[in-house]
Amino acid sequence: MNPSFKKRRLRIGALTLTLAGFFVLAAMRLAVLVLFDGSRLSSLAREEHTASLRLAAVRGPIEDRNGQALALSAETRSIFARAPKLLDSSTASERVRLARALAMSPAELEAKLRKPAPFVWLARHLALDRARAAEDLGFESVGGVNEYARFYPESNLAAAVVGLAGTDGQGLSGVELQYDRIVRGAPVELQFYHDALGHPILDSPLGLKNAQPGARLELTIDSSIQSAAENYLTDQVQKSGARRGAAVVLDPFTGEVLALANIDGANSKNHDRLHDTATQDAFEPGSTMKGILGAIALQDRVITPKRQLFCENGEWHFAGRTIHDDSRHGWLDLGGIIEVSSNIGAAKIALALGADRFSNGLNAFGLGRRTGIDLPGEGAGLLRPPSKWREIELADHGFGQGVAVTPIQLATAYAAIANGGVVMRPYVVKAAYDSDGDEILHHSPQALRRAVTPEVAHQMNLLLRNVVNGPDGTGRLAQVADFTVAGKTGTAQMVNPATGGYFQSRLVASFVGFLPADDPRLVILVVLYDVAHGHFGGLYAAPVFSEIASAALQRLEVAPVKTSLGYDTASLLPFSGETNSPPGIAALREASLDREASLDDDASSSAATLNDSGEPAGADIAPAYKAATAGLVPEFRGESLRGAFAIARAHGVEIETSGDGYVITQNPSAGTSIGSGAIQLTLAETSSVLPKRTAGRHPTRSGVSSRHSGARSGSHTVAFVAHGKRPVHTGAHARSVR
Amino acid sequence: MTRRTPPSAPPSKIIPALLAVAIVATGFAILMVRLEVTQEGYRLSSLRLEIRNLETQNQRLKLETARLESHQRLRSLAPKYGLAAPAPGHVVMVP
Repeated sequence: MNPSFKKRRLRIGALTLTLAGFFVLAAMRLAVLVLFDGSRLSSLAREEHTASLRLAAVRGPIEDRNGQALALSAETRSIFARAPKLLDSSTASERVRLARALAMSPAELEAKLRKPAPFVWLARHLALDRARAAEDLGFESVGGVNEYARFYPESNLAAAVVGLAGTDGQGLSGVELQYDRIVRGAPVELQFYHDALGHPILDSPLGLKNAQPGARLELTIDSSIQSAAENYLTDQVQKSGARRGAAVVLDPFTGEVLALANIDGANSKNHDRLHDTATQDAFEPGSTMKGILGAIALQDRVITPKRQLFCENGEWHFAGRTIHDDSRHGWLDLGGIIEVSSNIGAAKIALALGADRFSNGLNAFGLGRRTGIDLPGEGAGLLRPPSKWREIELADHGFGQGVAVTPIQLATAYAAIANGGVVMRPYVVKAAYDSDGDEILHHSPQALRRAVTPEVAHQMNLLLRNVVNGPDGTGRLAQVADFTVAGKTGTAQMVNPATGGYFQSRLVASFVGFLPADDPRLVILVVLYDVAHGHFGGLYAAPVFSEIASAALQRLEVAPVKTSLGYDTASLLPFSGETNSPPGIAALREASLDREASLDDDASSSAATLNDSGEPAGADIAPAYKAATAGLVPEFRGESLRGAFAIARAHGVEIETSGDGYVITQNPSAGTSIGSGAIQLTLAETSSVLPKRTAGRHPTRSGVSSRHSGARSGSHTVAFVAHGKRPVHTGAHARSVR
Repeated sequence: MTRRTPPSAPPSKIIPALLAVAIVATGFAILMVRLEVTQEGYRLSSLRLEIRNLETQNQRLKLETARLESHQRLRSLAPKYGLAAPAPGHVVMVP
């Protein structure tokens, strides 16, 4: 072999081996990189040329039923800082400039930067221009991110319904919280390649997606009606000195909430978005309970519209307590009891019903349980189990004491009377639409249960009209021109949470009603919390009802329907077994409620006055009443001359009168022992005497009794009002409810 | 005895040349396409930014409209123009 060739072969072999060695080393290195460091390195590489961006989803708008925006989101910019770095790299004067750009004081900025945190928000949700001005100052450790902020263009309109969304876009209250899942939308994490300068190159295979915007909510609220409700309620809260007020406007046939107003008397400009009085706060309904009681009693055939009960001339001693009426009434039928708002009559009906049936009836109307309205934190009110009701409590419940309801519960219950007896679930969100406009949620009217038959509902509808239109009605200020209103006033003492008793002079005044009575379109409840004594529901809540109703009817373009304004027994629908219903008669008999005779000629001569056999009532006075009043001077004040003589006859006392009109003073005073001489009565004319009620009622007290007010004097209270100058009783120990 | 192999024709240089040209052309085409895609990416990016800006502007305008139409504002402006809510009886609905 040629030596040179041999030498060449050796060199080639060495080179081959060297190359092979390098190759093996490279392969080993590759294996190490792939097998051991592969994931870390690929991650590093990905981070080097890809970036991610979280696109926040815009929160869906909330609109009223006519498309008026109540909540909108818009993009803003939030400025942050890496505080320690900023403090190290900037001078005090530079930070002053930054503070000015952010519209904050230098001290405020310094306080934020001195927080022991590497990252601090300097300002959230700034207008883009302002944020840009701050960023343009060129601080390396100051940055900004775009965020959506929630705006409420209607200011505080329907604030408690719409609710509040937090700084980070989460629902905190109201509809914002209840429907947060669909309103907030779906944010998206976007990944993309970028170039050396960080500019995104959007041809990346990493996928491009847009954030899914939140759904648009359409409320049942009508912002015009809502606005009217809030304005009129605000005015009345300010006038009456109430601590707060609430108003509910419902469509009785669908349960749609057209307005739900909450007014804070302390500062009416700042409605509380976090608290909804109308659905969360319970109050004692007072006499508004009588409408529901009447419906339950009619349904259970405990009473009929024609049956009369003796209302004890305004004062009834029962179970160791004394129940008072604001005016003195003798025999009253159900319509009369509701019209003049007799507590005694209501108590007797409640006793006739019994705890179980009354409780069941209240449950059927939805009291003591949540209505299911689509708002968070709804209260259930307070309705104790009937097994725990003492007899006096049962009587109290009849006129709305000892039970508590939320405004939405009470409005829903009256909506059932208005719509023919069906309890509808109230709701505030009508529908929701996604960003493409497709409907993703729809609420239809939902009937929860039937509370009473249509016949009973119609009867109550007729009876409640007289509260507003009857001569003795307590709710005459709720009248609406050209429309017939049916409703009920309520005035109840506030519970003192410290003592568990009642405040003597702090009241809750309310009015609930519906109209047009013949074809109800609206149920409206107005509640004024913590008003002073004398601020009756008929005086303070009823006018607000009238104003809201007028505005709402105009808004809904409801044409007036002329109907009979008054209550007419003959116009009531036939009610089978009305006078001979065994359960009703038995209950009344047991309670000894309808055995008493009237104390005046009208009542005793009334053919409509029935005893437990369906016959005209006898002339015997109830033993309890006689025992209680024997030997004592009866109350004459407020009576007409005729009424005064009737009382004198009934008690076997002599009277001497002077003047005409109504008794304004008497000597000796009521409640003192009867002496040997005649009782001196002084009468005076009144200026606002309204027509008398029909036979069967006590003939007196036909004025605007709801205008009475007064302070206690001995065991009775006497007060005079501007128009009628009529005295009135209030309870010495029972609570006055009207 | 030595065996002679017959002389053969020299290999053609056209095919490698064509192959090289094809490779270069393909590479160039791919480069151009990538460049175009990148350019389109930038354009798309700027369009998206513009859309986003317009959406933001749209949101702000909607908000401004809603504020201008708010009941509270209109109520405060109404007296200035001699406007007031109609009194009862001023509006008659015809059945």
